[in-house]
Amino acid sequence: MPPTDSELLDAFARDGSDRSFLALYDRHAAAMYGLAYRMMGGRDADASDVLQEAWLRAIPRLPDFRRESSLRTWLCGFIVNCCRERFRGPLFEEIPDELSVSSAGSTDLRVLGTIDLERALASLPPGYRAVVILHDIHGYTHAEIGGVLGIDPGTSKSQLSRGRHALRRRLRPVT
Amino acid sequence: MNHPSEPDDDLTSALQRLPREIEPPEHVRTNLRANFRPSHHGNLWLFAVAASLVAVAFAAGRVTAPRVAVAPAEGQKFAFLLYGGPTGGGDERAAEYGAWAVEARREGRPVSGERLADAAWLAGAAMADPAPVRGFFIVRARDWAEALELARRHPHARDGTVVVRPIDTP
Repeated sequence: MPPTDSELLDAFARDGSDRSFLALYDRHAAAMYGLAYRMMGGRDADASDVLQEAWLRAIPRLPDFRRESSLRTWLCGFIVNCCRERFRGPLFEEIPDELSVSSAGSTDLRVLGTIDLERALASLPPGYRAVVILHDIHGYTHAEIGGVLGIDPGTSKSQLSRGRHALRRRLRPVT
Repeated sequence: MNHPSEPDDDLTSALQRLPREIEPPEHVRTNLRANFRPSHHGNLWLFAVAASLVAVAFAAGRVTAPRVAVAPAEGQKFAFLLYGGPTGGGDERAAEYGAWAVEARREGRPVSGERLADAAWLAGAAMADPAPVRGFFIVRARDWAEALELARRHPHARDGTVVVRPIDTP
């Protein structure tokens, strides 16, 4: 049976070795990178920077992690913070009139290609993109989103609605 | 503003089908591991300080990274030598330095840097006890004015000294 996060944390607390660190990294880096990649609009160089910076910030604080939430959620909080620092302008700016990015020729999202969806997601303004990604892909609650983005849970809810609406418009086929 | 008339079920289902996990580039793991220092609770911050300078400089286009730095068409290399400043600061301090390096790269100025350990050994002729260099950055800038402007914005200049010296070789 693979070790639990708690056991990995205990091992890291005991020896502080690179081996213990890599065990934690290997378990959580892909989820953290997935979040960073989409939040940075699919720019892999930026996502790599974010992942690296997030770990550099998280490592010294690992002994302080209280284990009340999941370790992954806690680590992803560093990703969100690092991404936020890279966003320019207000988190929720007015969504501009958008062009469709879909090539599917259909509004049926059941047959929509992953590439179209990823492209449409990447084209959203950063704040809306963040809320949609955190809620709909990573399963955060509005309270959790409020916590990591520093906004009211009600704001998270309304911006999710706006974000989805903008996403849907981007997925309409060009007529 | 809500849009209650639009069913979101199909959209959320499509989003939920996207994989949460994406395999990160191997160089991130390699770099973090290469700069890892055996740590204990009391000095974990050392890792952050040392590795941040290295890793963020790496992120900023250092030659060890498999990345193409955005170099200006013309320019000169400058060494930024960091003297004085606070002895602590931890990862927040390191993050500030890292953010400066990332910003410099965004502006088209490749940056690399290292933090220096406190230990020093002298070789050659004796000299008066020099102020220790705490770290350094190598920056490419168009000219002196641009290099100085960049140095003034460096967080170390807030409470330490950044000495800017041109590098003789191109």
